[in-house]
Amino acid sequence: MAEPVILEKQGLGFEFKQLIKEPPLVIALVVLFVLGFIFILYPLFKIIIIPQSSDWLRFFNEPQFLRAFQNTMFSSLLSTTTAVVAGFIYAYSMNYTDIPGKKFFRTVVLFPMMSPSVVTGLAFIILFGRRGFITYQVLGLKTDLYGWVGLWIVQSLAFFPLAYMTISAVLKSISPNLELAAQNLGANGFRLFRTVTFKLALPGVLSAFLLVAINAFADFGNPMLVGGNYRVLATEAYLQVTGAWDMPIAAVLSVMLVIPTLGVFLLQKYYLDNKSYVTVTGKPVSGLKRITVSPVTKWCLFAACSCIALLILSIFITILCVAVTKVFGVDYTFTLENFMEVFFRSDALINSWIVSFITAIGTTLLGLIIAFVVSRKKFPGRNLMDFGALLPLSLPGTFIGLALILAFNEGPFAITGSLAIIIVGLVLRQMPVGYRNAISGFKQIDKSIEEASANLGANSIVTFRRIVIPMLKNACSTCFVYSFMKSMNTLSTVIFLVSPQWMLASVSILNLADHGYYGKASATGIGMMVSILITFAIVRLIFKKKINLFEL
Amino acid sequence: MGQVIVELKNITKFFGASKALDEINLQIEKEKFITFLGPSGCGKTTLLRIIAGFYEPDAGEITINNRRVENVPPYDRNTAMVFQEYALFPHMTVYQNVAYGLEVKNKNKTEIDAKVEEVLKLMQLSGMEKRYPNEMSGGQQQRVAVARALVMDPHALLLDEPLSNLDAQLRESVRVELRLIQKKLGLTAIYVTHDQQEALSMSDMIVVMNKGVIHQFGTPKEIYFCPRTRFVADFIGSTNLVDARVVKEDIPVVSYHGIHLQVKGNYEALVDQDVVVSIRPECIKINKVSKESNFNLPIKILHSMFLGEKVRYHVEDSYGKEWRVDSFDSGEEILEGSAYLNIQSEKSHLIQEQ
Repeated sequence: MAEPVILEKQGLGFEFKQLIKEPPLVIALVVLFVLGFIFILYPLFKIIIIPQSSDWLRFFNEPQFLRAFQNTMFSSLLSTTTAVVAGFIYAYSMNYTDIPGKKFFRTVVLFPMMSPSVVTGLAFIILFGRRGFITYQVLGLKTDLYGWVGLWIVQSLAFFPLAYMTISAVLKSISPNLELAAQNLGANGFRLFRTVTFKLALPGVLSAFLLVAINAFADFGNPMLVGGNYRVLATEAYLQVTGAWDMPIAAVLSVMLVIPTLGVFLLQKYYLDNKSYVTVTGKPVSGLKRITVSPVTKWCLFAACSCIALLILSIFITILCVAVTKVFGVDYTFTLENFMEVFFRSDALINSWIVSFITAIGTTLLGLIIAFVVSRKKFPGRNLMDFGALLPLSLPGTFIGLALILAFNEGPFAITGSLAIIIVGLVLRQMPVGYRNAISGFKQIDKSIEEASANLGANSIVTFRRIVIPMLKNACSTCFVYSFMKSMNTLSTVIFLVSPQWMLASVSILNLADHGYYGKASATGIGMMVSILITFAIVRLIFKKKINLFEL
Repeated sequence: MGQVIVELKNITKFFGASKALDEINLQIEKEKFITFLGPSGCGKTTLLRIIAGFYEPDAGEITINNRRVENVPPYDRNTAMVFQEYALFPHMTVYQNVAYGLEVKNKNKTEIDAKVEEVLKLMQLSGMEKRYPNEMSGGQQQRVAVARALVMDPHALLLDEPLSNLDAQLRESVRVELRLIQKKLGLTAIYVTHDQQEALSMSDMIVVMNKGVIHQFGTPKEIYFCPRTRFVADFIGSTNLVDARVVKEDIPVVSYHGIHLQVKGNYEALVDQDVVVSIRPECIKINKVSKESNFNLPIKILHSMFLGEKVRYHVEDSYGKEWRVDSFDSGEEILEGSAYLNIQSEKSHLIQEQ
């Protein structure tokens, strides 16, 4: 008689069998999948199903739409390249030189992070607009810089901090040992940079490029403010909705916008991540001093960094000046009227705070839970969940917003115009960051610690509550702060979702600037930065931990 | 035979295409100290983790305390484990670490306090309740890990190379201590190690494993003096493996190039069968002159090393075979030249060829 062949237990059936042993885990998974279905799959389905074939054809037949597509591509790639080059120079100077004032340079970069990106656009029109301070008041020119040139400058500045942060993280994780080894073998100066440092950093720099590109493709506020007649896909879709209530074509435009971002996302996730030489999550190698550059190079880099820093500073000084004067450019009387208006006579700031606070909690928890099950449990659909949790990273905010109003305008989940839909949109948008953050947190915790907990009698839920959450406290506070800040500042995600009852500060800046109320718009921008800083202080008190924005 | 507390039947486990465990059968008696011994990758840790429930076997049965547990999750098996890296919860104090398992079981506060205090006292950790793991030395952390497992009063205490992160001296003293505690509490302990000294010195029974199969299950003395397979003979201590032919069956006598040697065997060897004999280096005497004995082999000394308590010789006989010989008679060493090997008959052992 033949002996029965023993095979490894694997596959779907086995994974199901394993799951059923832990009912609370099954419930958690079912809830996650149902949420994913309702809030990711269903809206995606809606936005694709709503346009008729004639609507798709219109995109190719009407020149304005194709032009919007070309404009998006051109201006985004241009500003991304500029931002990445500037970001690399800045990051290299911070990590590889001993230029004076590093602390100052690092702090300056945080300003744009803490304010909505439209603030850059706002400062730009105040300085270089039709009645701009510099173009009109100082130089007496009748010209303006609206259009692709203005957009290029504004977006480059607005996305510079993101490029800098990402590249800096990459450079930090390059082991100085490798450079010392190269130097020991005779490579020096530019040769060392070209053959070792740059080669090692390249995959990371490419990743940074793609990350910035996705954000630039999806940028809404700046093209709206300084683009003028130079329309990109995001603004075109918005104008189609608000001007003509033409939902199908807006959906088509949004889908067209997703095609490049999704392409970039897939490229990054499945190609670049595997090519990277450095792990960004790895611990920095301490104790070794990096080789620094020659004095000439050092002062050149110093000059470059100073220019960038001054540009950024000028934005915020402008905003501050405008906020505290009666009519900037005409009447320079000091006033606090704008702040009174923004803080006490408008709900926008409070609304933004409430929305962002709830979003931050939701994002942190959801990211943590998904990361826990994906990195520690085996279940059918695990890869799908990983993909679903990262997917919104590639979806432009306007796309998410539009998909949500299309999906939840009617039917069992009619939540359009409510607080809920804003929060859903923001959580969707921010979750990937929280998820990635938590995943890298889990990578740093030895699996045996959770096994020890199970071994001592705790099931998955107890282990999650008593071991995982406390151990990831730092990752959680970072994630909370980051998604709070992002939610406060985002414009594109919420532009379709706000309603008169639930007006948000970032949208209000855009509206105020559009109507020429620069004083109030600036005051709102500053009010947002202040409320973000206050929230940071509170979180710091609660977690008793200094928030390091550079870790984000 | 005492009461069996852990029983493994035909346990098989794959990792992808490779077979990590191949039909493992084992009965572990209550209150015994059992060691899984083998080189890395032999499956010993996998087997331990299967008992703990971290892996599910692809085939076979596991019985712990008369209960079939293949489908029981790890948190319901009461097989507390001491992890190699200790896996202490870094955000909890010593007290909280040790109390964790009891709290999860919803024991009442006074009972938890009493039990934790008792165990900490046993592990000489009293007074350290409020410390965090990162404020303690490696040795202290290891004690906390043991305390955390002991407090659960497990059916079987599992130890996964718990001493590998300690320095040599500390390791020696912890060995003794662990063994004393195990005896005192009447615990069943399953201990995984690749260190033969550790296995020999601590265990009641040793399971020697290689490539996913059990080579021998026996007491330390059996394992050492009567290795059943070539692998066991080679892995435990050092030995001389000698190819010989059986000349007499009832009390086995083998012939090595015409020189007869009486051996022990745990299987029936037939006349004219080719066999392998394991002879430990310390069971051979080295003499300058030929002695009347049943095994007397002329050799040439290649090299000798002074190792403190003994001298280790590398010698070669006239057939080109190299032998290792240990001599403990300090002071009267023959350090070079020709000599004779003299083997005590009862210390040689027939092993099964694989």
